[in-house]
Order: sequence, then C-alpha cells, then structure tokens
Amino acid sequence: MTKSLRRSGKPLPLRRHLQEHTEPAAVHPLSSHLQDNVAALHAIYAEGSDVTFHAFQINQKIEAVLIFRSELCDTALLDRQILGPLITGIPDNLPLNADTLHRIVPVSSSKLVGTLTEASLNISSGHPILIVEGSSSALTFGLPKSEHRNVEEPTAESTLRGPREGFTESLTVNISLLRKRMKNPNFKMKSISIGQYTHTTVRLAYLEGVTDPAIVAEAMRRLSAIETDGILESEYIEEWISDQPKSPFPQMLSTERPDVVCANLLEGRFALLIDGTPFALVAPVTLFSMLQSPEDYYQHFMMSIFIRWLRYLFYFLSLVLPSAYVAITTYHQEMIPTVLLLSVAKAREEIPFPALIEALIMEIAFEALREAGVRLPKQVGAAVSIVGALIIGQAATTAGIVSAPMVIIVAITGIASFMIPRYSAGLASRLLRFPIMLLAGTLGLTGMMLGMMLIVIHLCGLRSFGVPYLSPVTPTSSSVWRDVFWRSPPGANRNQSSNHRSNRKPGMPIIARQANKR
Amino acid sequence: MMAWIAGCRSCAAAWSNACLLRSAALALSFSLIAVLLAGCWDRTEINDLAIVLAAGIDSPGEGKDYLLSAQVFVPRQSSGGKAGGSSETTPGGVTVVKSATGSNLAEAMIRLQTKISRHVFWGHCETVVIGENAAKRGLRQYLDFLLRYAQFREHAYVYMSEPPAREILALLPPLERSSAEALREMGNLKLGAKVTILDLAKSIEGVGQSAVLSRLRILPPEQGRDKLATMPYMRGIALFRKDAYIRTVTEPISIGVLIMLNQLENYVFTVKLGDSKGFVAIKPLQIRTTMTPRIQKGVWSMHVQVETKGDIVLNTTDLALLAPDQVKAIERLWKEKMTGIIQASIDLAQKKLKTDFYGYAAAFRRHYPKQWNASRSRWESIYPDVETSLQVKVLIMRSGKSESPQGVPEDTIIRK
Repeated sequence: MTKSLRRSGKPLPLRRHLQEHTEPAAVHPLSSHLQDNVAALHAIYAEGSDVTFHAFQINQKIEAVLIFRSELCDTALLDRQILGPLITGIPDNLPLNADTLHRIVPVSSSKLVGTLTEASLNISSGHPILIVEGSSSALTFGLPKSEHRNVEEPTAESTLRGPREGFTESLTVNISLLRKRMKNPNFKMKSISIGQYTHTTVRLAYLEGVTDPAIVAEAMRRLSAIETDGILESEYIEEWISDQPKSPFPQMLSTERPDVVCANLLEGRFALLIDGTPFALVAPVTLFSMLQSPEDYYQHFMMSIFIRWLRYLFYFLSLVLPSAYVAITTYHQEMIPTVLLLSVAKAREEIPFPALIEALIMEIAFEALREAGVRLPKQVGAAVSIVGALIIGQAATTAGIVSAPMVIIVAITGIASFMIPRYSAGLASRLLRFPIMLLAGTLGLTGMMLGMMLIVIHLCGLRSFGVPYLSPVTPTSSSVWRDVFWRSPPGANRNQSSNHRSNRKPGMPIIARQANKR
Repeated sequence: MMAWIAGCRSCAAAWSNACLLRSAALALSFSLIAVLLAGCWDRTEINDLAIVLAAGIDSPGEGKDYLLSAQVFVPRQSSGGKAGGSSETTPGGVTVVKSATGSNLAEAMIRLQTKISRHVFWGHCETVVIGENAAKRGLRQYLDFLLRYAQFREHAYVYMSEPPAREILALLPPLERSSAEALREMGNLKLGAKVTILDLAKSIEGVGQSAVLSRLRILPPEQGRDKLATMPYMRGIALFRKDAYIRTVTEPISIGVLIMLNQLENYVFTVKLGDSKGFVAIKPLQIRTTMTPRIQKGVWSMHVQVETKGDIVLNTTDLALLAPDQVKAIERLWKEKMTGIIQASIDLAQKKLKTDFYGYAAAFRRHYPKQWNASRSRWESIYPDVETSLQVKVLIMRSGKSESPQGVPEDTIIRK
C-alpha cells in the first residue's frame, strides 16, 4: 500500500513555490513615492543579499536613492559620472525628475525602467538604479564592472596555424571578437534571456541572406521554449534544443574559436553565444563537419586532403578496431595472414581471458586512464601517463594478463580517438565501441556489421535543425563533396557559402521538436 | 473508505501494467541474450587452436589405410635469450607432427582430432605433401577432400615427396620456422614447379589430363646435428597421367619440362666451347615459351618458340667475350644446348609417355574450337603424332662485370 502510494504521489511543486516567492512584484509598477519603491526593493533584498541603498539629495534638494551591487558595478565610475554631477552640478532651472536626468547624466547607456521586476533585474545584472522622489520610473546606468579573463589561446582546440584567440566567459568580449572579424552589417544577432534564476543572455548570431531564415526562426522557437532554472554551460542549451538529445552523436558543434564560428556563419549556419561560457554552439551540423578541423583550411590543401582522409580512416578505426580484432581472432582465424596468426598465437598462449574480456579490460582501463588524466592537475597528469604506460602497457603484458597485440590495438584505438578534432564528436565512437565489441565477441564479424548497420540507420534518421546528419553523402548532393572527401583550393571552392546552404534543400522540412516536452 | 478502495484499485492497475512492461522487457532481453549466446558457442580462442601448417598424405600401398599427417604449430613464447644466443642447436619443437590412419582421408582427419587436445584448424595449411606411394594410388580422393572440406585453402602448394610425407613434415629446418614455411618459400622462388591445389585439380580435369609436381627429398643433415635439423629440397619433377603418378624426370629433362611449362627460374646453363678447354656459364634472365598450334590440311602441328635472354656469369675460356663473333659462337652453342634439352622433354611427353603435359590440347581448343570439338575423342591418338617444330631464340645481354677473363696472364687472352 505504501509502495503504491509513493508511486502515485506527486512531487511537491517546488519550482512554482520558489518562483512566486522570488518574484513578488512581477506586475508592480514603480510608484511615484520614493519611500514605497525603496521599501519594495528592501523587501526583495531583505536578507543575505548585499545590495547597497545609497540615499542622497540631488542638487541638495530632491531625495534620491542609488541602488546597486557594489561587487558588480564600477563604483569609481559611479562616483565620478553619476553621484558627482547629481549632487553638485545640475542647473537649477531644470525640473528634477527621472526623465530629465536621463538626458543630463553623463553616462552613455542609461535607460528608464517602469516596474520593480525590471529594476531588480538590472540591479542583479550590475546596473545601478536611480530612484528619484516624485518619479514613477527609475533610471538604470550601464556601468557594470567587467571582471573577465583576458582573451587567451583556446586550450581545447589548438592549431599550429591560425588565430590564437579564444572566446572568454564574457559575452561582450565574445561578441567583439566576432564583430571584429565579420564587418558586414548583415551579421545579425538576436538576444534571449534563459533561466529563471540565472537569466543567462544567449545571443543567436547569423548572417542575413546566408543563413536560412527558417532555421533561425526554428532555433529561436526552440530557445524560447526552454524552461529551466539556469544555464551554466552551452551543453545545457544543446540538450534542450537538439533534435534528438538521446543520440550519442552531437547535433551541435561546440567551439571556443571565433574563427570557427565565423567560418560556420559564412557556410550558412547560426551560432549561439552564451554568457558565462567560452563555448559557442553552431548548428546545423553534419557528421562530416564534425570531423573537420579549422586547420583543414589554414594549411596547404593537399596536406588537408591527406589529413582529412586519415581522420576519416581513424574515426572508423576508433569505432571498430577492437571489435574487428576480437571478431577475427575468435571467429575468423583463417582471415589472418599465417605468419601474423602464428605471432598472435604465441603472444596469446599464456593469456587466461578470452579475447573479448581482454579487450574490455584494456579498453575500460584506457578510458579510466584518460578520464583520470583529464581531471587531474597538470603536475599530476604526468604521473598518470607513467602509470598508464608502465602498468597497463608493460607490466600487464609481462604478467600475462593481456597480450601484446591487444595492447597495440588499444593503443591505436586510443590514438585514433585523439585524432578527432572535436571532442564531442569523439565521444560517440568512444561510447559505441563497447556495444559493438560485445556484438563482435558474441556473433563475430556478423555482429560487428550488425552494430555498424544499426549505427548507420540511426545516423540516417538523425537531423540537426532539419539538415540530415549524413548529408551531403546521403541524401546525395555531390556538388558539396569537394569539401567533404576533398578540400579544393580556393578558386575551385570560392562560392563557399552557397554551396553549403545546399545542405538543406529548399523544400526539406525542419523537424520541429517541442523543446518543453522532455 | 470507498475512495481508499478506488485508489487502491487504480494503484493495482498501474502495478499490473508496470509488471507487464517489465516482464516484456525481461523477455526481450532474454531473447536477445539467447540470440547472442548462439553465436557465442562458435567462439574459438586462438589459444584453443592447433594451427596446422602443412598436411602430409601417405599410404603404405594399395588397399591399405591412408596416413594423414599434420604439422602443428607449437605456440610457445620464445624467450629472448634463447633465440639470440645459440643458433647451433636445433630450433626445438616449433612444430610437432601428428598422424592418424583411416580408410579415407576424412576418417583419418577425424581420428587425428582425437589425438590433439585443441581444435585442429586447417585454415592455414599452405603446403600439402603427397608421398610417392600415396601418389601412385591416384590423386582424385585427395583433391576432392582438399577442395571440398571448407577449411583447406585452394592456393596451398602441392608437392610430391620421395620419402614418406610424414618425414618431410617432421623436419625442423634451422633457417625457417617450419618445413611448411620452407617449402612455401621455395615454391615462391620457383625452385621447382609451383603448383597449387587448384592448379593441380584444373590441370588434371582439363583437356590435357595430366599434371606435374615438384618432387621433394630430404637434405642429409650435417654431421653431429640432429637428424631432423635439416631442410627438404626439390629434385626432379613428378609426372602424372590423369591423376596417377607415372614417373619422375630429373635434370636435364626436368629443366626442359619447366621451360615448356614457362616456369623455369634460377638456373644456369653451362656451355662447353669446342676448341678451348674452358666453359661459359649463362644465367637466363627471362625465358618465354609460346605455343602456336596449327591445323593445315588435316595435319596437326605445334610451333614452340622459346625466347631467352641471359647474362654470362662465368668464363673459364681465354676468350675476351668482346668480339661479336665470340658472343655469336657462344649464343649458337647455348641455343643448341637448350634445343637439345627441350626437344628431349617434348619427345618424352609425346613419344614415350604419350601424355600432354605442356598444354597442347588447351592450345588447340583455344585456336581451333571447331576442329577440336570434332576430334576431341580422338585426341589421345592425335597427340603423339602432332608435329612439333621447335625454335629457340637466344640473346646474350651482358658479359658480366668483367670483359676479359680474370686470373690469366694478359697475353693469353684471345681478343678477336
């Protein structure tokens, strides 16, 4: 009985409760009495908050209160540009209300707000609020203190040649990095604020006339449908607005390079810049665009073609190499060249585990090692590689727990997965390797092919904002192939943007997804 | 109270629904496991394989059992020190030979399995050695077995051995991992006739109804060495009419046979010059034999043209080998020598053995399909009377690194 009760019992509607509590003045306009407004704001910031209420007299006549968070505002500028002129330097003949002050205070970005909600939002964002006795609107000033990291080299996506600037956590810096590169006025941005608590600003950047307006509209629709408490990283957004969030293949590209964002904008994609994270999201993407590196375009095209093919090959290897080894050595020994088989037989003679178990042990150990290396500080990271190389590589072979060929296979697989330029694209092959390995270990090459077929079927059905994930290979648009299987030198590939726009054919429907139904 | 009951009932309904879902999921996963396990039983780890490198077929004689031998690889980790240090000792036990008898090969194979603790795996058997006595009983049964049983490779090389095949397989050659590998390498070097199982079957089943195989012997071991620590080597060519072994030819006729089969490599012709004491050795770089059949006015004839180019590798005469006349003379003698050898091998096939080893029948069928179809039943009587005209073209390309003979006083050299 208790069990079934618990099953049917609804969780406490905590979110709604909190919402009501934190936004008491959702529709309250500001009153013309200063004391009422201050009291209302005092009620909002009653406990545990550090909002400064600075009361003073304008021109020593009219009562006014400046409300701000000292840690978010540039207080030096506040003193010099607002308090100074207001206390002493206002001509006597002017009527002193918010409307007039708006025009005479020497701050470039000031704005009038009429409701308590707006006022408190501005305070939280670091904009000081000025409330004047007798005015039913408040004045906000854009004087946020910009505490941000310098523009540094992107750590997760380094290139030998190419710009060394990376995005930072500050949205304004990021936008300036993009605007600096893209000077055409058609470079447009739409803004939206997401998250009940964080009010994170998200900017959707696109090139008017290049990006399909339907895709932009769909993206805005999905963004506005997000109902969440907070957005702290781009992945939060990605999971809300991806076409199929349950697929291991990423349907949006995350990058911290402004040049990559610009290149994608030129190819007719849109980008999402999210305040507070150095990672921008780009969509719609295809599997092949996930396997491209910015350096493909920054070095000689022959080298790029070679590297690109190498990358395709190793992407495939990172998915199937251990499975192929397991399948062939346990089911299809006649496929191995005789001399190689004899060496493998010698190496495997002392190994107590079946090849499948051996492969699983090594792959899991490798993944663990890799994860340990990522999380550890750099100084300790070296120790991990020593432990990995010595214990797993050397000692495990000498102890007869795993065979040397298996170590080679795992090593090649590891290298292969490092070759994928996008970290998130590599995750799919890292993850799917294991089920394919199990299939290969139970059904041999048949099982491996079965797994591959399932993956291909899944990929064929996958879409990123209406663009098929495997395009331009299927559905075929061979005119774009020169930038998939090839990287034509400029001239041959001049008209880049138009040829990428053809990824989505005009009549192709965008599969609408209700972002709020999760 | 009523509400409580109603609530309880709805809960129970939800319960059973969940139960159903769960059992369905369970059944689905069980059936998936069942499917996967079915594959699992087929799994054979490499540790559980007895990898056969070579198969040997012997027979003590007509009407008796066949003896099937398998050279099995012993996958023992060779420790580093042992391999590097003493090359003098025999390579102890890289392979072992296991044999079993049976009234036919399939039976022998199954009995062989009972003697080995691992799955006998024939998928890497790249050498098949047939003993002379077994060969005399006809190759049909062996070929059928080798081409029918799924594990054998049809591109495995086939040899005939003078000693029992089992003894060839038991050898542990100091140079190679196993005698199977030694034989495979020798085949690739074309030290004899390079014949695969498929080639053998095709040549016996083909219009020629004959076959040739290289014949193996065992190199006597060096003194003080283990008697197994030696190599097999190829000596002579075994000739088969239909599937039965008839005789072996050795040098020089075996050379003629190989030339006719377009398979001669690694040979040196020695030419004695009439008027001087010494001789000249010529290594052919390339020998090409073409056969042109002709039927004119009911007369079947075959034109055999052998073209060869070679280098002089040894000269013990006093000739400087610079004057064109001298080279011409040597070429003439070489040509005579080759013509003699080839003619003898043609005569052996046509006149003595009356067996078409060199593919006359195939050539006639290809060039004259109508006449061939009309007279294919009479081929055995036509063949010995086919007029064979032989033309040998030789060319000496180079006289080697030295022009004049070395190790003789300057004034004795004949320069023109």
